[in-house]
Amino acid sequence: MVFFTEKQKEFGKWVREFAVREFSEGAKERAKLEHVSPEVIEKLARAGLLKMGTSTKYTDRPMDFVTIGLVHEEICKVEFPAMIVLLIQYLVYGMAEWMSDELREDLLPASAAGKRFICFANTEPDCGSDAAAITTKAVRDGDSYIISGEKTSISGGMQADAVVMTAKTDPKAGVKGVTLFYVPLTAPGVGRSMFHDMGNLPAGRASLTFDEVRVPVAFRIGGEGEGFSKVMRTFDVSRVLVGMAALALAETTLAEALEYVKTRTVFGNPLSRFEAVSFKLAEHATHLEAARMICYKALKMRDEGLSHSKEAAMAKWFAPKCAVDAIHDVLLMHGRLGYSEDSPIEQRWRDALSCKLGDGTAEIMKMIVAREMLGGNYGPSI
Amino acid sequence: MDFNFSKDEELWQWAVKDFADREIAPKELTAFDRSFRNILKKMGELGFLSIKLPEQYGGDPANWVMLGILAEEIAKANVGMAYFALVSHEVAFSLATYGTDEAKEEWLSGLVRADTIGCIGATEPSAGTDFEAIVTRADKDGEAYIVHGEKTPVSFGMEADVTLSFARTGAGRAGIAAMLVPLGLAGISRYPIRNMGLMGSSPASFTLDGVRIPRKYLIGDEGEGWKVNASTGFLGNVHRILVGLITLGVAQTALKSAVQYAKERVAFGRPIIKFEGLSGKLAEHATFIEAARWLCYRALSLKDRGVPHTKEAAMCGWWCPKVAHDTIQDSLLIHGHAGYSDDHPFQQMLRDVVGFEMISGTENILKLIINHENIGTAAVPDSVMDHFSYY
Repeated sequence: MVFFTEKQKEFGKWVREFAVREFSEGAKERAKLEHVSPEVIEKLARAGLLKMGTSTKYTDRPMDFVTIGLVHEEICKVEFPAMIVLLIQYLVYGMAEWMSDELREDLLPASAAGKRFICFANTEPDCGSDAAAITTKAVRDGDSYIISGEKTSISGGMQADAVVMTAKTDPKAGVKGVTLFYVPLTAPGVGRSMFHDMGNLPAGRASLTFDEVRVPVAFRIGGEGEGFSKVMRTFDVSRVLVGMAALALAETTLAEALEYVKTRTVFGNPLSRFEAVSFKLAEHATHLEAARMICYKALKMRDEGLSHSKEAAMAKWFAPKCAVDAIHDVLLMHGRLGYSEDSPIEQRWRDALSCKLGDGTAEIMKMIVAREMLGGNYGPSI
Repeated sequence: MDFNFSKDEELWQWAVKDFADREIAPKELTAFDRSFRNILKKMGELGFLSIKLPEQYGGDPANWVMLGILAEEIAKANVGMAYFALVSHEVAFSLATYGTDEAKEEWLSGLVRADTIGCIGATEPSAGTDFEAIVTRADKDGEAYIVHGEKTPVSFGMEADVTLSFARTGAGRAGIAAMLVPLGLAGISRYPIRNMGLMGSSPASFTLDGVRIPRKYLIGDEGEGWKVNASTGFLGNVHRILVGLITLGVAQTALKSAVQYAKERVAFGRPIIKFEGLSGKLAEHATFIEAARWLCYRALSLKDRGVPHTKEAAMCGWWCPKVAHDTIQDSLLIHGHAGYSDDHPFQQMLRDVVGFEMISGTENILKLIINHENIGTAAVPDSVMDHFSYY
């Protein structure tokens, strides 16, 4: 693979073996839980995979973004529920430089050890795509802020110990009034309720309510009004990772499909002999490969310090679409076996669909791509 | 060329739609429970399951277009009940067309009234699309048959009273016999199947271990099993067309919700339906549903006129569920993250429609059938040639 360095290839191989060794057994059962298994989190922590920052300032084991992507891909091929943990761990390290010393010194070691589960919250009942239109307020009161509002569709929300969330410190200021906060979910005034989802159940998606929740100033991340731009910068990576998680599901599915079509016979021949079957596999393999390349390109651009919002947005709408289509067709190839509750394929199909929505809809991604290509004056009507 | 329903067909559509809107839709039933069964009985009482069946058993001449209308309108409210109407009809119509007078006397009225639940136990672990590969045996024993084998999956199998089943009296296509198998007979075990969707169809696996079937339950002659399945059973044209209409019914309900939501949901200062990136999709799905729907009704109309329609039926079978799948998936996604939870019906609809994408056989076999109709055996792979003589 001309794309990866020797070091990256070696590390990728190590992660692949680690994932297969540690997570193959019980993966199907864990996919049906409504939380990420603590055992999985512990194994990831012990392997040092929850301290994947890019700077030696915050981790003794810095990695570049391409490698972070490799870890994400290889783990998700076997243990998709780990996605939310890996996504959040990236976020923690991505935001570390904007945190107060006090917060950083408390959070980072705990997170790296798998002892502090964080979730991220921007979406509210009345604003998802329109990310800047949040109404959750944070009012300064002495050496605290008082936070009130509601966040929804928060992956990891039921299991999390704390949330990194956006709130308006200046309700009149639009985008420039958004500030980031770290809020322990055990604080008085916090409520949570769960969604019952089609798939990706371990993500424990939740609604979070904040009724005059008090947090110290030290829990503010970055300055007042800086929240939105910081969130957008982290999205440029998390979007790629969401895309890659979907691809991981599809890659595992496709690999299994190749074996199935060689053994299942129909009309006296293996399914693979029929081009109606093999060409479908070829088409999906092509799409998945192309989607994968966009993902790694975005991460490589990040490593090289290049702006990559366009590539990240491409990855986020294209990769899940290719993944869902591939898994769906493989499911149909398996007939009744694919449709059964026992089938890992139908589980992955339901899981992969969540990746089409998390971190932004395809419509928003296409808006971003169009705007990046056309420029602000000729961009989509907003 | 009149693309309108007749006055009778319109009245029928109104009646079914009225029933579906009032009695079915508000209940949101997804499991085959007591309430579900009660609605099926009501449908039976109203004559919904009587189309083209002999009047002496509660049937009504009607026409095939009206069976399609029934399936579509019921599906808009509840996909499991619509599918029940199709399966029940296949069993009843097979019995009416090929069954002995004795068997008809015993079973047909009950099926028409939905007092009796029928199902079709045809496919087996190694025989799905390649139906000829079934191995279930029916060994002759005087005036009866002793059946050994396994049938899976059987829609409505857990709840059914009787199954239309297929077993071998000999080798090859001419060795398949169709028979009614009352499910209370000794030697039958049923196991529930848990699927990703369509659980309202209460699917089951059957094992038949020395089940004794009296000759009166033979459907058609020995050796005519294939013909029965291919004409009035799940290999037949009506199955494919109605599956198409059922999935399109679900899709129309989903699309209607998506349109309503997009008109109300505001983002970036306006209803999201104002954004062409979204509304374009609504137009695309409306286009495909419109075209697919008329394809289905044309196929049924050809059947009503006694004109061959194998090609059209196969087209309905592979294409309509795909159209429906895409529409329902987009309807889910238009609702954003909320669409992914069970707060909305879309995730269930999507799970259900995937079942329909495989229920008429794979799209691949249906495409071969279309090519065979349009082009002939030249378009059929050599390895499959033998199996095409029934089309």
